Amino acid sequence: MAALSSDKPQDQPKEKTLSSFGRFWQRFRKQRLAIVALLFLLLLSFVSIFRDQLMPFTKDQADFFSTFCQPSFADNSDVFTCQNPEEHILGTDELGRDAYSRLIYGTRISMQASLLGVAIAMIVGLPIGLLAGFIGGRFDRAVMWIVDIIFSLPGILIAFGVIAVLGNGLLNAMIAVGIVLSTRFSRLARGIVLAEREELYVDGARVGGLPTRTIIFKHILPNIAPPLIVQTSLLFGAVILIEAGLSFLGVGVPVSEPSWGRMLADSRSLLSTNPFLSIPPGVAIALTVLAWNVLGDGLRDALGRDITNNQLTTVNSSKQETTASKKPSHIDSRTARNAALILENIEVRFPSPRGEDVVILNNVSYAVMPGETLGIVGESGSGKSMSVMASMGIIPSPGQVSAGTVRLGQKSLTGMPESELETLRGKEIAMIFQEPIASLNPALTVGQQLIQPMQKHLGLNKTEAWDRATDLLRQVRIPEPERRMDEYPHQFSGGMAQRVGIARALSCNPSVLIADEPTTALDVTVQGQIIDLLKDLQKDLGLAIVFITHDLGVIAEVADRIAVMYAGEVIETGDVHTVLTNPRHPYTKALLETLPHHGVSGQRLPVIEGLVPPPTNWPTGCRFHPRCHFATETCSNGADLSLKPVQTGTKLDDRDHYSACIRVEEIDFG
Amino acid sequence: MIRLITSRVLTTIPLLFVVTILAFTMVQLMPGSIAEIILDAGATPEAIAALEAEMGIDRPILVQYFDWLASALQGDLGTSLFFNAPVTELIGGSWRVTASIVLGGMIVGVTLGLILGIVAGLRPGSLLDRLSTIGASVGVSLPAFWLGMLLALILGVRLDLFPVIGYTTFAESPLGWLHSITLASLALGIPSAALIARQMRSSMANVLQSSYIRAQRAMGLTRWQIVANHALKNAMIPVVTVIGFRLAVVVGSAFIVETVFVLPGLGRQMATAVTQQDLIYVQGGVVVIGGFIIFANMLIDIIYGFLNPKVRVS
Repeated sequence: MAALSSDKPQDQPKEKTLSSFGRFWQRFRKQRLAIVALLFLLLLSFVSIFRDQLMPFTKDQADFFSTFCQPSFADNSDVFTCQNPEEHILGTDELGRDAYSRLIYGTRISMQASLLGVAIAMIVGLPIGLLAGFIGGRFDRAVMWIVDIIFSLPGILIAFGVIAVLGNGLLNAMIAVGIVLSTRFSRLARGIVLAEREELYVDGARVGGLPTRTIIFKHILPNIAPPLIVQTSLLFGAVILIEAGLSFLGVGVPVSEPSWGRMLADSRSLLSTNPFLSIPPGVAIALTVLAWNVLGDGLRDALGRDITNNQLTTVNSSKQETTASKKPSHIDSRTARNAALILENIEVRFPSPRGEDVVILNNVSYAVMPGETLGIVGESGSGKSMSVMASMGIIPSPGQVSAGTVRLGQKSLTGMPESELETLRGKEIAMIFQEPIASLNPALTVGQQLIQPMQKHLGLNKTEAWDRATDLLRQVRIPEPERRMDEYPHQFSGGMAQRVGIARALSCNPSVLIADEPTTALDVTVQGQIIDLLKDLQKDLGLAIVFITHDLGVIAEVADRIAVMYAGEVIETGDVHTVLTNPRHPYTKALLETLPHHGVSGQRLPVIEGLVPPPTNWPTGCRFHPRCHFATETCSNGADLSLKPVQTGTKLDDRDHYSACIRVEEIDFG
Repeated sequence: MIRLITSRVLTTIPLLFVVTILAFTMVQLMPGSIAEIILDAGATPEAIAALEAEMGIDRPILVQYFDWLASALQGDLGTSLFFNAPVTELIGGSWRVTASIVLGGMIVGVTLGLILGIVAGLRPGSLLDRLSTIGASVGVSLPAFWLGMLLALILGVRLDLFPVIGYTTFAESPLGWLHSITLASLALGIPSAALIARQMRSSMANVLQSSYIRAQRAMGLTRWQIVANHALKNAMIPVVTVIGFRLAVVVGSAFIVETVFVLPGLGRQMATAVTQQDLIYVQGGVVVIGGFIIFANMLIDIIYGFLNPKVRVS
């Protein structure tokens, strides 16, 4: 550990915080509302510092010739008690005291009170939470138990108790508020310490050393800062609300001090005679609290993540049958006629934040015949999953299929309205997912979620659907299916949950099954069982399967044909045996070389150097050329990159073998 | 389910103890003794000692605590120093008012909040979503008592739709009761609705991003089937917790809102007792209100377990 912390990590965190602060500032700057809120709060600080210079009257200065004045912009002519309305911008009360001056006076009380309250909350709360997190065990449980009780009680109730004991006064009231809100800091600090300990424990175990407290401290501070800043900002708002409430009741700040809450209480009795008096202090409170909240939200957004996409909204493909679809694909007409599922020249676009669209899939074509398995391989980021989502019309918004056609049997899905697509999904084409447990609804039993699609697509009633679901579970070899129907997803192992996923996908007798990395999240023995199950079911039901994986070992076992994808394009396709034994694209060849049994013992396992570039940054010409050992200058130019039949004259090559490499005939792939 | 309920009831009992200990300690922390407060400043030490002996506050502290707890369990919370009446009787006369507006406020807050939150969460980024998000930000920033004053001014004084002052009991006239608590309920409910809507929106938006929603969509269920049968229940789970926390805030705000509408509730009594340092009343109030909140949290916990099978079945 000592050696580890002496070299790299020493300067690394510095660089990291700097760049992360830079990123934070970039994101925060865009939040115009938060900037406005920040400026408003700075203005309030200015007002409270220069309070005495800004007040035209003192707080108690009574102008007996100007009582019950409306604000100076209103009509004061019928208020006979008001002689000097123009001197009082916001009007006066029953004693002729100037509302504007009192509002400014109250600003400092609010700012002071919130500073004091938050400071006390932090001083009391942070150490408690940090200690509880560090010491852990029984101490932690006991302390957090008490903290949680206090947290659950109404803040005002606790404040009442504290003030009843200590007596009235701003400081006492803020001690009370500070104690109430300290629990939030305690919970926050403890949570972060625990999370950090967990992580360090794992790291520590890996390098064989144990983390010391000082190291924990080094990790805690940078991690606690962002949520702490957000929480503090929100707490300022909370303190101002509580302080105003207490003052309104006459508890806390002495009644003679015109805090905003007190001004509201005074204006309550004048509600029918001079209603305007209740507006400025209320607006002041609301705006200040709003400013702190908006600032807090802005900080959180600048530090957090985005939630504006979901799985339900899709942009319907509007621009179908564009130029791209008129280009012929490599798929011959006989295959095209008989395919269970065929994608031709599919293009998928996502609008980028900068305005222009990003093309995620470019000219993707593949077909799968009934009873056949098509394997799709490629590194992550190659567009494998996106292509099958395009085939089901479930590309998450704002992405959309911008060109090409999808056909399921004889039906063209391109441009089909959502309501019609819904009758096909699940019934004609179904899907199993990479993370079996996450793809099941955690709040419903397995039975409850299995029966719904059958009721919809097969018109079964509840009992029939239930019986069929039980049969399906038996068919996918889940022991005790009757009992398992009533269990929740979290009670299933990954392998068992994937069987449920398969049962669900097959429940309405689809002709096409899409398997999106169905075995990636499972351990090896379970992987084999799931693959065997899928093969058996395919034999029995004559399913067409599209099997996505990045594991060439798995593909060799399940697929009849294969499509290799790279950076949103299909770059080689053909019979699985042909492609795997006689690859005709440098990328496929490189993928095959990464398989462990190709490595010579004692040497490093080969990897493909570099990463799949992101869609915003795809190279010109052949997208693989920057990582390709065979690349020449022509590869980076706009040469013909469509799939071309491979003609090497050897017997191994069947007529279905296609490669997109422009140097396919020059390169020695052997 | 039964196991969940029993375990929640059992964990609630020690919480109630903590509240009684807090309330009891509060009085002990006060500088000087109750006897000094009751007697005038000029009282002789002998007189103070005599009263202390009479009240039993010269005994060991644990004896005092259990003695006090025993009477409290029998419904005797002592005699208020300021109101000069039994605390139980005072609270018995005022709790219905507070309970009425808390209930009204929660109903307004939860219904309005859930509807707005769901609608906004279904289409994040839409105009409706942005409007309700702005509304929610403003709503949570409004002090309930000021909102109450504005409502009183507009719906009460100007439009004369609701009474601005006073309380009609349910027994007197159910309609009059509803009338008298409407403004206060709205004042309490609107900021709560804003908070609940915010939580519901982000919760719904998060749930809709999850993998099981995509899986249901891939099975051909319609939008509404997915929202109603799959998304809603999951999205409610974190919101239930927020509603629970909100209840405590609404109770606190109710104390202040009572003052705005001159409702003879617990809060007004409490505020008077606090300013008068009537520790016996405050102590009783803390026990009763704290006990209520803990009981309500227990119910919320049970609902949470009902929604979340991971808590219930393990």
